[in-house]
This record gives sequence, C-alpha cells and structure tokens, in this order.
Amino acid sequence: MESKSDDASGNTITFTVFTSMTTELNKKFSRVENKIVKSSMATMSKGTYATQTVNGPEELNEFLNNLKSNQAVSIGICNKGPSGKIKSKKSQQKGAITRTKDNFEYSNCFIFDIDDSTLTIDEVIPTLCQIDPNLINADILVRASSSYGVYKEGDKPNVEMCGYHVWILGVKDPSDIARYGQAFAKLCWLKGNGHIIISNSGSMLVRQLIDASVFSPERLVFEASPTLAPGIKQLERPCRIQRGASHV
Amino acid sequence: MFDTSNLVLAEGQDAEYEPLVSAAKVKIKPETEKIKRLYIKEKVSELVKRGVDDEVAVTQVTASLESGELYGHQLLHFQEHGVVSVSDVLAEPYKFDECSLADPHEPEYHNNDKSVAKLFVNTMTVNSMAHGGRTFSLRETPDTMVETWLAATKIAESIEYILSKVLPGFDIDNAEISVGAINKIVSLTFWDANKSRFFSLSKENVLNAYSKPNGFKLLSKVNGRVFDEEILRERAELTEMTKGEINAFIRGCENQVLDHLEIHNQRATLEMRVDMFARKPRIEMQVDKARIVFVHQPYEVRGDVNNEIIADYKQHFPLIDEVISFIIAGRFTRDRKQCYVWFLCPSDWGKGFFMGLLKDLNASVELSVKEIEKIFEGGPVGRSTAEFKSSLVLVVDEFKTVKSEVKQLQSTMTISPKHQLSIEVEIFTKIFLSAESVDSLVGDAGVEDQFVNRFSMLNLSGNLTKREVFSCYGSGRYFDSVLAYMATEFNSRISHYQSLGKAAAEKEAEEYINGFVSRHGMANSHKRLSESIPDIARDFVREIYESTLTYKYDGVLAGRGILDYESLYLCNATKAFEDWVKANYGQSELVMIRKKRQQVFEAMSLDGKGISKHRVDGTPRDAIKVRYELYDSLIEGSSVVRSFG
Repeated sequence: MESKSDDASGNTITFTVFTSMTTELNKKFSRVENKIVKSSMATMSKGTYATQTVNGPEELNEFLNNLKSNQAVSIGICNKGPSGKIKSKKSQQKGAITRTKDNFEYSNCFIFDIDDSTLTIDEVIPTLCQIDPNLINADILVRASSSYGVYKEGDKPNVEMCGYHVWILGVKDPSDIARYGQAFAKLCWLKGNGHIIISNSGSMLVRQLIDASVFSPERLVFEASPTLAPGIKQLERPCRIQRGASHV
Repeated sequence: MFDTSNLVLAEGQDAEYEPLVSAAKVKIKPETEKIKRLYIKEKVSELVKRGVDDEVAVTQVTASLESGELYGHQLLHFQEHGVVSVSDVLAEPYKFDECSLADPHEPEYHNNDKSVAKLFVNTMTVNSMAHGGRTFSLRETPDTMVETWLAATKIAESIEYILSKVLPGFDIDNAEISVGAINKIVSLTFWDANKSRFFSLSKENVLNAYSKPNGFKLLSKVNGRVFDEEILRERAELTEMTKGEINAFIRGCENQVLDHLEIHNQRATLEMRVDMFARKPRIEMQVDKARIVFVHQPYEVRGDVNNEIIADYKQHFPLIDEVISFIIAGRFTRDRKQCYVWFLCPSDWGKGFFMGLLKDLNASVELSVKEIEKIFEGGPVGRSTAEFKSSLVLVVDEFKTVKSEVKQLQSTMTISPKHQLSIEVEIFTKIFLSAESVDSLVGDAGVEDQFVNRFSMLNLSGNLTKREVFSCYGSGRYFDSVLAYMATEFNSRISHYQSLGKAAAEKEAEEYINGFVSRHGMANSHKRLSESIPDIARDFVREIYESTLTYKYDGVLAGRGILDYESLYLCNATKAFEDWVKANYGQSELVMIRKKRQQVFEAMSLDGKGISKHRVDGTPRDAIKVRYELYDSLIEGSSVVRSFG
C-alpha cells in the first residue's frame, strides 16, 4: 500500500483532528496541598472528527500549537469519510462512528512517544537514529510534551526529566507502520535501550526508549497546551525540526 | 519519503529479543515479589476493613494479579459513582456502562486519575490505558477456590521449612517458590490410586495422565515452575552434602506437592462438565469425586454460507432456526425436563443429513434405546467421555419403542467407558427420530402423561434429495453450506447467552423452551392417557357387567363379575384387568395401559380406593365395588334381563 498522500515528496501530511463536545482533551495542572497535580481526560465519548492536511513539519507544528483544549489528534485517518461525528460504543446516534480501530487506518505519519526521558531535545533525533539510522532521511518534528516545564510560580522549573512526541512525516507505506513500531521497540532492547520497570502492584513492565503502544491509527495524541491553575506557569515548549535527506 | 521497510530485524535478532527480556525479568523478580507482597498486604487489609473475610480477600487479590480478572469484593474507583465493588457493578452493569474509572489494580496511577480506564458492559471488561494498556474481565469469584489457594500456601510454607532446615542462611526469596504455580497444580490435578496416575487438566482443555516418577517434572512444565531447582542445587553443592543427599533434598521439596495430591486430591470417580461461562478449565474436588470443568470452545465454522442453499433448506425444514434456538436454549436452561423433541419424518426427509450436521460439529452423541437402557443399568458402553464434551444433543435414531429409562435422560447420566473411570456426563437436548409413529409412545388411549409433559413433536415432510437446489449444488456443497450456517448460528446464540451472564441466560433459555413447548408440545396434538382413564374404566366395567349378565358371553371376563343385590363387584381384579388388556390392546400399548391399572381401578371403584375389603355374597373378599353410574346407563339400554339378587 502506498502513501495516502498524492504528494510524491511526502511533504503533505494527513492526520485526524478530534473535537470533543463534552470534555476537555488537554492536560490540567492544579495545586493540591501546595503540590502540582496533573490530570487528563483520556476518553472522548462525543464529538467530531476531521481529516487534516498540512504541508511539512513547520506547518504541522503551528497547527498543533493552535489546538484548542477540547481537541486532540490521531496519526490515522477515518475510512468512513473525511469528517463526521464520534459517538461512544453504547450510543445509538445515527451517522456517528466510534473511535475504534475498524474505523481508522494508518496515514503517512506516526509518532514516537518518549516518556520521562533524561535526553535533551537536541539529543532526541540522534538517539533515535542510533536505533534506526534511516531516520536521518525522514522529515521529523520533535515537540516537548505538553507537561514540559510546568512549575509553581516562584519555584525553579524542573526540566531534567521530559517527555517528547516525535512526529515522523511522509511515510511511504502506511500499512508498514505497526510492524515498524514493534521492530523499532525490539531494536531498542537489542541496542541496550530496554529495561523492566515494576508497577505498584508488582507487575513487570517491559519498557524501552519509546512507548510501543502508540502505533495505532485511532489512538489520541494529546498535543494541546495544558490548562494551568492560577499560580502555575509553564516554560515555552521547545521543538526541533529535521528536514530529512529525502526531502525534495 | 520515509521508507519504514528499510528497518528489518536481521536474522537471529528476533530470536535474541525474548531471552533478553526474560533475563531482565529474572534479574528483577525478587524485587517484584517483594513489591507484590506489599501490594497484596495493603489491598487485603483495605478489603478486610470493609468486612471481607481475610481468606476470601487474600484469594481474590492474589488471583486477580495472576489472572488479570477482577473479583466481587475488589474495589473500582469511578469518576461518576465513587468507590464501588465489582459485585455491585455485576448486579447493575448498565449503570456503569462506558463510565470512566481509575486503573483497577493501581487506582493511584497518574495521580489518582479516574479517566484512565473505562468499563464496557458488552464484554464485561475494564480497558485501562495505564502502563500501555491492559484489559480486565469482571467476575464474581475466581476459578481458584479459597481452599486450593490456602493449600498451595501451606505447601509453599512446608517447602520453605525444608529449605530453612537443609540450607540455613539461604535467602528463601532466591528459591522463587511460586504459590501461583502450586495453586495451579493443586487445583487442576488429582491422583487416581487404581491407575497410579496423576490426571491433570491442561489449559488446552485436555485431561492428561502422568506417571508418578515424571509427575512433578511434567506438572511443573505445564503449570509453571514451583521453585528454582538450579539455585537450590548450586547452594546445596556449597555444603558438604553428597549428590545423593542433594537429590533426596530436591525430591523432598517436590514431594510436598505430590504428597498433597495423593492425600487430598485422590479420587476414583469423575464428573464432567463444560462451563459455558468459564474462561479457564478447572477441577473441582468434591467429597467423593473429581468434577472436571472444561471451558466451551466455539464450534468450528468451515467454509462459507451459501444464501441460496440456506433459503432452500429453510423451505424444506422451516423449523430449522427454531430447532437451533431450542438446542442452544437447552444448553443454558437449568431444568431440561422438557428438552425432548421427536422428529416424525418420512425416510427421505433427510434425517441422516440433519444428524450428520450435528455429528460433524461434534455437537451430538448418538445412542440407541438399548444403549440407554444399558447405561442406566451401569453396563460398559463403547462411548468415550470426549464424545460428550462438546455435545449439545443426544440423538436416538430409528426410535421404535419408548422405555421408562428415556424419562431419566433429563440432565445427567453416568457412563462407564471400557477400560476407563466411570464418569457422570451432562445431557441437554434429546432428539428422537423415526419414520413411523411409535405405538408404545402414542396409543389409541393417548400418550402417557410423563411423555406428554416432556416431548415436543415435529411432524416433518418432504424429500430433501429431490429438491432442485440440492441436485444443482450436489449433496456435498449443500451439506457444507448448511453446516457452516449451523455452526455460525450455534456460536452466535451461545455468545448471546454468555453475554447475559449465568442467571439471565438461564431465565431467557427457560422462557424459550416454554415457548417452544407451547407451540410444539405433544399436548397440542395428543390426548393424555390420564384423560382417557375414565373411558378405559367405563369400557372395562361395560365388559364386566355384560359378562356377568350374559350367560352366552364367552369373553375373557366371563364369570368375573358378581352381582350382589344391586351392587356389582369384581374379584380377582388384577388378573381380570390383565386378561382384558391383553385381549383389547396391541403389544406396544399393553405396557402403557398395564401401568395405569391402579388408576383405572380407582376410577371404577365406588370408594375411589380400587381393590379393598368388601362382603360379597356374605364372604369378606378383596374386590372392587364398581361405581353404579358406570353401568347404570347399561341397565336401561341393555338387552340383558335385569335379574339382581
């Protein structure tokens, strides 16, 4: 299967924007007993979706910067039509679809989700290229996660640990994204970037440089700026763009 | 463009991955066990504070970590409904459908975020996005019994005791004794002393037999490692123990498990069940037998359904969908007394075709009436327990006579397969097929009440082989298509009942059976024998009366009646009735009418008691004093001369 984009250079990026009608889709930082508490509404039961096209990483970055608090995106596109309504599984709403795998397919982009990393933003792409040197040829947008640099007014922001969303753009064969994600995760282990963490209930969780569960077309990617309670500030979220060697 | 296909794992790299991850897990395991123990302690104490029994709490919390299921007393932290137990959710599931909640095992995940998971009633699961995503099923109780878990814990403790004695100073955590693995072995294995074998149920739904010398090794292989033998050997070798002593030490540890099986899990009688709602096979140790509980496996759908063929078959057999629904309802209803269907159909209707469908799906066991009799007599039969495992229907073909054993076929029967343990199996729908009427079931006098109450009857007609579509596609293609249809319909109806949960499924199935019986029950088309008793009594009395008054009468009842003043008595009533029945009813009906003798006697006697003491011709005798109204009408209308006294 070839790319959904008609653009042979891969400059045109297609993905989906979801707008919730009932809940916010961004993170929320509030103060509880003088501590910063993060919460998020990870479920979306009613709203709309629309297929979105942008040209290149710069335009994608700008688009993501302007998402509203009730918006999120996914790396896939709907196979039922370019736009429409989203319903929950139990809803009988006619004409609306559920945000499930059967209604969405891969497009020409995907993300690497890097959580709680000690890497600086400038180290992200070189580290990924150690796993897959071909990434040097890709158009890439690296965005610090929406939790980046959140701090209490008067305190010093802590950016020692940070998460990143790394958008890989202009993918030639969307149907290969899932396989690629799993192979990349395995290679992380083989190249010494894998480890086991123990959950609070004593489960052993297999972890590597990237989160292996995000390579799914219907999964929400939370990119909107967070809602900050009074007294909480955020540093400007940095980003990096690589124009790949294959860029024409 | 970015070409992802350039990233390919080199040959051998894929094979390196799993061992790498496993090694990392092994390294971290002692730490994991410590955290798990703390977690269990904390959660159990939380449940005990809410009034849950300590042992039940331990079982549910521990089993939940092993199985990924959530059990009755465990707590769910909903965004909208607050803290609710799993039992409460199961009691009113739709109230919680698609509601957001915290991760069930780790509600504190993501700063107590109550939107990381969602409950779905259609699958009765909680999907959590915590730790990359996991799904939990909701159930009232774990397959694991409290007793087996406690037994497993005790076995683990006895192994620990041996270790502390033989290897003082050794950190017992390093032995990695797995209560979970021991629990699996204890709950899935029993010892048969007669055959000197361990029988263990595998997760593939198969009952395996293991000899004693290989028992521990194979049971560990199937159910998980009980302890790290290698570490124990290494540690023992550092002491002054000889090789023989080390072997004995390891065997001693192994025997803690095997001895338990031999002492507590020794059974010689089996019972087999398929639990339509279970997710894992299990063995329930009952006082005198081991109940093997298999899980249901969906029927295999081979090939495609051809709509033209199905439409044609439905035209030939318009009740096929009803029969399929009846069979599946028969699988889920608790009371299977009414699950008897008699297919009365001409020889070319397609009985063999229909039976072939059920047989190909492994959904039926075919028995003759003789075999049924033999089974109830406890004789050995050439049937294996495997035949009954996925069977929904017991088929009796060419059914010509009905015996009382047929009535006993309600829910279970015990079969004694040759050279195997006798085993109690469940039976569900019973289908009887015949080309002609069965006199012993349906006589002129009606149908015995017990059969009317049980049997539905389908009077079918037509010739399958002469159908145009059948000839056009050929018997093979026609059969395959109907087979695929039947398998699909079976699976879909079974899924429906499973989704309802046990209690609601039983209720719905019972309602369906009642509806089917009201449409097709034998009572709709046949008179009950009980309704004919007054008529039989009247006929019998008529003949007694006439034989008593007519001197020329030379029938079987000649001279049996005695007229004493205005009363008619029948002495030697049993013999008289037997002779009369023989002379008036065919061989097949005879048995049925004979059984009603007492009811006929009661119906014809003045005191309603049948035979009792009466003074007849001045002598006390055992006789029936016949009700006057039964022969009163004969007096006026009869040609005989009334000459009492």
